[in-house]
Amino acid sequence: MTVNTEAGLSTSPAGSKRERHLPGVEGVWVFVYADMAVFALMFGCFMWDRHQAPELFESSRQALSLNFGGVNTLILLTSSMLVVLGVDALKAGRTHLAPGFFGSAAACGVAFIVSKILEYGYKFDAGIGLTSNAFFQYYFIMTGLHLGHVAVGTIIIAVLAAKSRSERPGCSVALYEGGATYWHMVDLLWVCIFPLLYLVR
Amino acid sequence: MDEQTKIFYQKLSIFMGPIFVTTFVIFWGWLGNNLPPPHPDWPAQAFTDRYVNNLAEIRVGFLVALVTICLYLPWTAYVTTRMKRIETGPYPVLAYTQLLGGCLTVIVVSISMWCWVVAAQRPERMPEITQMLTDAGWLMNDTLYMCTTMQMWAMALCILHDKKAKVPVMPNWACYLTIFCGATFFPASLTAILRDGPFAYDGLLGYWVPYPAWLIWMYIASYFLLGDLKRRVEVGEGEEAPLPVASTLRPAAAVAKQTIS
Amino acid sequence: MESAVKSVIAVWLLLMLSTAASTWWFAQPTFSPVLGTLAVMVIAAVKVGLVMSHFMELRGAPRPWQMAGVIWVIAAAGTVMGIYLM
Repeated sequence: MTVNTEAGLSTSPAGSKRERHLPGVEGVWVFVYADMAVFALMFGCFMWDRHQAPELFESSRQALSLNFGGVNTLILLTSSMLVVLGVDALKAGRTHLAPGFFGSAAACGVAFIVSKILEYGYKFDAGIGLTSNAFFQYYFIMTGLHLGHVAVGTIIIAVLAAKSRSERPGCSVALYEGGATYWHMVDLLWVCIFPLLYLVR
Repeated sequence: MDEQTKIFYQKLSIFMGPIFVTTFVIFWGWLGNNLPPPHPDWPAQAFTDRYVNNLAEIRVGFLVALVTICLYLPWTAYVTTRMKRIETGPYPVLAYTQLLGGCLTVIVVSISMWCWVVAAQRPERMPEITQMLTDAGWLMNDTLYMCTTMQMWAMALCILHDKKAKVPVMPNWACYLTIFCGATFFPASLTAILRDGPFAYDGLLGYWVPYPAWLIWMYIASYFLLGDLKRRVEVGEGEEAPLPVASTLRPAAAVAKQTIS
Repeated sequence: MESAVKSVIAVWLLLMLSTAASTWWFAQPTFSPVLGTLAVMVIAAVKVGLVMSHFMELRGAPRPWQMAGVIWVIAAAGTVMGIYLM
């Protein structure tokens, strides 16, 4: 990971001369890292309980739909990229492009929520629920807590989309950066949750 | 009441917060045998044994904690009045939400301990009843946390929106940490369904994350409230200060303010 | 197109392709379970790093905030892979 961050630095279009900048306000980052720490604890618990009962976890995992999980990941990654482009458009003074980017990003959030509801529906139809076994307990809790984050994030991005309609070039982007940082965290957490639940064999 | 006395009571009210936390850890946590808490999947007899074997400690622990929990009230009162100075005008809804949240927190935590005091009053009764009282106490806290969460969120939002102060009551990061600490209680709702693992009422995410987050928040908030009181007494509340000064003092927050407004 | 936008789209493409590779290749029954899982985990860690550095803009952020991200990735990936290989 260190390599990635460093490689990113050297290719940074802003160049190394410019002062280092933390997107948004520092509070958002405190929140994001604290939230990520809680999820990391959950990942540890999941792997630990999986270690106690690998056969149960593996057989239950096979009931999950990889296609749903994979497409969900693609949706969130795309949404994240659209938000980056939206913030970039505001920074570069192409403010007229921002509402479109943020609006499509929020639409991706809605698509994710709809797809998760469908996925839960299929599980319930198959008689699988929160209390079915240890694996499905983690499945419903981790994806459910994440879904809560997606719902909050979708609202934030939708509000930013509406707000960006009235921005003029040179506007302050701190609020947009803060919302974007949260949304990227939601993406990042799914990038971890998806392989843990769906792909670990 | 003269100014000195007023300031004294204000300071005393803030100090009640950390004093509450300290007594809570000692009497509720340590003497009350809640470090670690009972395991919800135990057989009923284990709950009875827990009370019988530590009867004096548990009784003293919860009886004292039931008294000191009320120190949360003056602390809440101070925060409410401080918020009303920020949220000026006749409709201080955030301040009152915080006030209601603080008051109800005291009642929720009190009723939960009251269940355990009842359990400890007659521990020789049927183990199932002792088990039920213990469960009831935990679920009181773990399903009614939203009162406390609302208190924390209202306080954080109010301070984040403070545009008059040269220095805000709490720095930006502490406000967001407050929002986070309030949110850590959400997984605790699962304690009503799951009796084993990290989401049970003795689990990592049902207990070891949210309870410390709440108590540590109280220390952090009290620390900044004291600093704010000191500043307030020394240099006044800063309404007379022109805004440009604010932007040099806290650039990030000032940028956020411009964007919000 | 500006270079900043180009690099964001390049990173996005990389993320999409690696997700597809994880889901529809390394995690498929034809691939050895342990190797496939480790590949999936490493890819996930790299993806998290890319999201942090390029989407969350940590590459240009002050060092301490960058370090926190790096520590999270190492701790999370280390814990998950460590327990998996136990």
